[in-house]
Amino acid sequence: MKLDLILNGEPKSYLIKEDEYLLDVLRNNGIASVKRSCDSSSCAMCTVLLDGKPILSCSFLAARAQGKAITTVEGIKDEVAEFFKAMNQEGAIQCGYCDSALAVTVYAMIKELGTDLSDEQIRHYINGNVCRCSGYMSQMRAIKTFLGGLK
Amino acid sequence: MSKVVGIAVPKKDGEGMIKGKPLYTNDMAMRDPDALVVKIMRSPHPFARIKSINKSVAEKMEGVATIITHLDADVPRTIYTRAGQGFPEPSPHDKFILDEYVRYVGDEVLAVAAVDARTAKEAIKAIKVEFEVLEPVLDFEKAEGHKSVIHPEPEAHEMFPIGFDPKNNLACSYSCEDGDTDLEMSKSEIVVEDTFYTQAQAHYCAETHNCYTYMDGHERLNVISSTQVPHHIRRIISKALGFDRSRIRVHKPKVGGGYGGKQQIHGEMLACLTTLRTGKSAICNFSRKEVFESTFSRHQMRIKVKIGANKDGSINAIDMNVLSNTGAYGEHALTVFMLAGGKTLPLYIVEGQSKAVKFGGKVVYTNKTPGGAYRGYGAMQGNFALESMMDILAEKVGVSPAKIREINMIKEGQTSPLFKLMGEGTEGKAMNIESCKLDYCMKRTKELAKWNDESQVIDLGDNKVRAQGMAIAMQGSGIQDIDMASAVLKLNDDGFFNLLIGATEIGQGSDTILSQIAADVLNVDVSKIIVYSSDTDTTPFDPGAYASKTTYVTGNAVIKAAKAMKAKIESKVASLWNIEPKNVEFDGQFIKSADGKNSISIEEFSSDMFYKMCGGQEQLMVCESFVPEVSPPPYMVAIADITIDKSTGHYNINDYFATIDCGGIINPSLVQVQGEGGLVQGIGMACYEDVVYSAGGQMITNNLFNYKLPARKEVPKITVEFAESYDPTGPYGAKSIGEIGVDTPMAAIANAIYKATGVRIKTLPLFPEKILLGMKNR
Amino acid sequence: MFRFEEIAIPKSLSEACELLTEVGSVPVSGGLFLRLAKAKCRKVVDLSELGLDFIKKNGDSVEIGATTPLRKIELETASYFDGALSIAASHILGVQFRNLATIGGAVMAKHGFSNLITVLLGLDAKLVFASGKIVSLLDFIENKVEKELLEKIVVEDNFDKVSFQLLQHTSLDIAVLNVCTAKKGKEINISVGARPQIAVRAKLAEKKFAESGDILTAAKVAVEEIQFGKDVRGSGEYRKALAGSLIEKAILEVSK
Repeated sequence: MKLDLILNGEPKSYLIKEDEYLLDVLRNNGIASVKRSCDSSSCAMCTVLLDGKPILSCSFLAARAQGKAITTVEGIKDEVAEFFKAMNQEGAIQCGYCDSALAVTVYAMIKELGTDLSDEQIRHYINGNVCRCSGYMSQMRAIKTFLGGLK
Repeated sequence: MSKVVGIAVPKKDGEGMIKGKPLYTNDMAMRDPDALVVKIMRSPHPFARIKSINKSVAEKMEGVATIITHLDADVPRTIYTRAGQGFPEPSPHDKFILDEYVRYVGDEVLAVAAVDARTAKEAIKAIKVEFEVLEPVLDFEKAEGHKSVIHPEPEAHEMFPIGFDPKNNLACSYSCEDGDTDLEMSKSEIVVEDTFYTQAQAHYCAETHNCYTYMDGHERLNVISSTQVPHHIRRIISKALGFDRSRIRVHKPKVGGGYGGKQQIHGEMLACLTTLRTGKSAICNFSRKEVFESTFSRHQMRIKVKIGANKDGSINAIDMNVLSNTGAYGEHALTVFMLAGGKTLPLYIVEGQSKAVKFGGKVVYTNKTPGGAYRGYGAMQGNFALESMMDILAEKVGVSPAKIREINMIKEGQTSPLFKLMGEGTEGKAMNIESCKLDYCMKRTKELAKWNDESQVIDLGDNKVRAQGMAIAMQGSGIQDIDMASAVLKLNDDGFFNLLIGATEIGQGSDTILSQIAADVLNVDVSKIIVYSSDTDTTPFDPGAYASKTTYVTGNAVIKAAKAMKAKIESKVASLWNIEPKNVEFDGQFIKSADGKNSISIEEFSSDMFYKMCGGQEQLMVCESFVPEVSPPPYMVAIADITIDKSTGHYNINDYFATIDCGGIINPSLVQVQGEGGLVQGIGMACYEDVVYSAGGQMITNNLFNYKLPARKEVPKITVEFAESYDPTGPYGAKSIGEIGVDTPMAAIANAIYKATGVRIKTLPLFPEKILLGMKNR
Repeated sequence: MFRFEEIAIPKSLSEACELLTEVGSVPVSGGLFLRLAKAKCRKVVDLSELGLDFIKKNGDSVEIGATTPLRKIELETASYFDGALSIAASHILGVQFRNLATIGGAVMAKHGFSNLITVLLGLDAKLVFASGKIVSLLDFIENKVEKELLEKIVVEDNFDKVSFQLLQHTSLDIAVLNVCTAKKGKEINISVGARPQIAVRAKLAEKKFAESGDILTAAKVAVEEIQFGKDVRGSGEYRKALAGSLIEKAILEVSK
């Protein structure tokens, strides 16, 4: 079947199988930032924004994205450029596999909740973003640096 | 030039990764739509013999390229070990590429390569395999001498004596002693003794174990793999497949996490067979379930510890006995088990202080997922037992947990007889501890945690108690006399350098740290160092990312290479200027003569080396290797601060304080995150992670729904500091940081739980259930 | 992996009902656990565009559309039921999951571990089906309801005090045990879920409490009348001990 969607602001049309998931469609079409990791809706490394809201692309049937706006890190590079920098300065980008998804989620968090956030609010919003390398502290430091810069 | 070492230089590859560039194995493979997809049929039985395989339907299915079984003539019956270790490996050779026996649920039965994953999976469903189901060995305490022999094959063998006894299901056994332990125990005023159990733990690398193989234009087999050990992979594939090593190239792109999980060979063998048989490229991506069930996990252990001490708390002797479960195959069986003692006992077994030590035990085969390398590598298991015992001893002696450690712990300038007694699978080597800041780490961690020697418990009311627990740890820095690392530096026109290293950057930041070292020695900006790792064709030999070795061992090789490059530049210029090399100095920007008469910029000189028509053109390139003579241990002191609800057994970790002595610090950010990340992995093992099997031997925790990693709410705060320290043998005084972080949480949190509730948990993980029922059933 | 040949995304309830009469058709709401399912069907009927994503308050009555995502429940029911439903939702995995998973999916799947079912059962929730049939959640749990399409859930927000308690191994895990109590006058509702079986009401304990107002006795009666089982997250013995504490805490909280 044909799937029409807006990917990072550009209309795209893909030929997909009915039972394909959005993650596979995106990766098959060159979006490498979206990663498969846990395979059971539990790690959030496949996060994309669906009409601005973070969702798990591994568990979202691609057919449901018909006419919707999908955003991946490729589409918000300029908006989160300072976040990339802050993450790298903190050494928070370790194996790197979960970080694009974290950037997308942080972007969505700011759109939804603003920049004046407590540690608890930040942790609650991004709690689903699992990371096995960093121990999370450095990500938090980077997020706070980024938020501070936006204020 | 500003300082390069000791600065938080951002990771060279960091932004590329977070921007989502196609850098990982499968990002590359997905650009090859013609590649075959390899899927593996896996055993549903913990132990069985394949009686027959009927593939007639599957073979004819559209899109199925080939089916690989143990009966095929081109599948060699070579026995090998998948462990990515130096050669000859200390692990027994006990694995065939495919075999008529399957030895655990998830073991490989056969493989199908097809045009896409869906077709390959459908084909697997269409293949009928008849099994003779055998009685499995599931309880590791009953494995030795069990009537089921897991490795009856006559080909299985050890590479050198490791106590391999497959008839009795023993992968290896070992024992050693210094002094007369039994005698010292009998003379001791206080003797404490107990048994501890540590569980298997899954690595959970974010990227699953993926590989991609193809034949290149030279008809050579290329293997792109998510691996920590490219050079070992080349050797293992070549030996097992009987394929000319000169025709294999293994390269590793970005790797989504390793932690030891990728220090073994995984899908590479079957992908290679597919490519060799069909001539087509092949992708073998493991599913998450396959990673959980069919790769490796931390070795489960039973550890008995006995300590004999004097009334004042000074330790006379320690006796540690370990039973380790290596599962169906013996990867890293001996070495992980030995380090349970080797990387813990020297904390307290100190020459001229303690009197005797005994260590020994066995590693058994069972019909479970194999044990393998995992960050901490035995030290973590041993640490839980020993550091729990130290608190038990402290209570018996009547001193605080801090005091008992202060009395006994090793100090700078001392040594332990264990260094000479035990190596990694072999005899060890005597070593004086030239850097050990345990005393500072102890003092500082107590300050940070506001530790109270009198009482470590505060009653908060409403059933809630706050408590602190302590543990200390050591690790190593590479494997002395075995690990060899090398580095190549190449000077390019316009004055920048290629740094080619076989050491594998897998996220820990080694590319950046090694670049910093090269830049510092050459006194150039770190942007002038273009680093590349790792490719068996183009980068020099390095064992890979394991044993906490990269900064220490490869870092030393980089120092040698950079010094050699500096000398080479100076000597080349000297020859052009017809003066003595000692009168020429390269300062990072200019090459100058001592008399100040001659000067040339590195940009101009390097360009001249390629293009100047004076007959003196030359590619300047150096390669240096380093073999460490010692393995200086990093040390740490940790205090867990928890609040426990006695009505439910549930506890929160308020903060986890640690002070680490990892020697000199090359990159403060990266070392900080290695410390913090290690601690959270250790906290995961301590509190949340458990590999659970059904009574029939099926893994229940084979997905992230049932296997629980710590999320960030579990660890709202971790406080890591570093001691000022300098090891004279390390690059810029550095020791290792990669593994030590994981070692302490099990014992520190267990000790805190004991303080809070009086419940001593001796079997990991530290689930609230054990606390609540422990209090209730007391 | 869940496999199917066709997907339909109907825009109205009646259209959805008609599609679901076809042989081999299966309704899918959030679809989160599809990946773990090993099944095949002919047609998936996706319910996301039926206009059932709503939370409305009419007097004391709160109506929640079947496809309302958990994230919306977390954010928009915080001022209802003393926040119990909101808190229960907030403990379910991450934001990305909660933006997809729906309350209808949670209820219809009858997962034993469900936090939402435990709260809704404690609140005497009613299920309104597309067919017009109205069934109490208690009936729905206890009896088999033939193939019905859920339209909305109706909950009265007229309790004096509601409490939700749970214990999780990690913040991204399902509950080892969850408890909801809701008090109105002397009457109390006590529901206990993730036993690991689906939530039940502690009817004897409810009666005992209404008679005596004695918290400890009610908690004791509750743990005796309810069955607790074993799974990878804990033993029956542990759950029973834990239930004693959580039920006591939950009753205490609504008795303040």
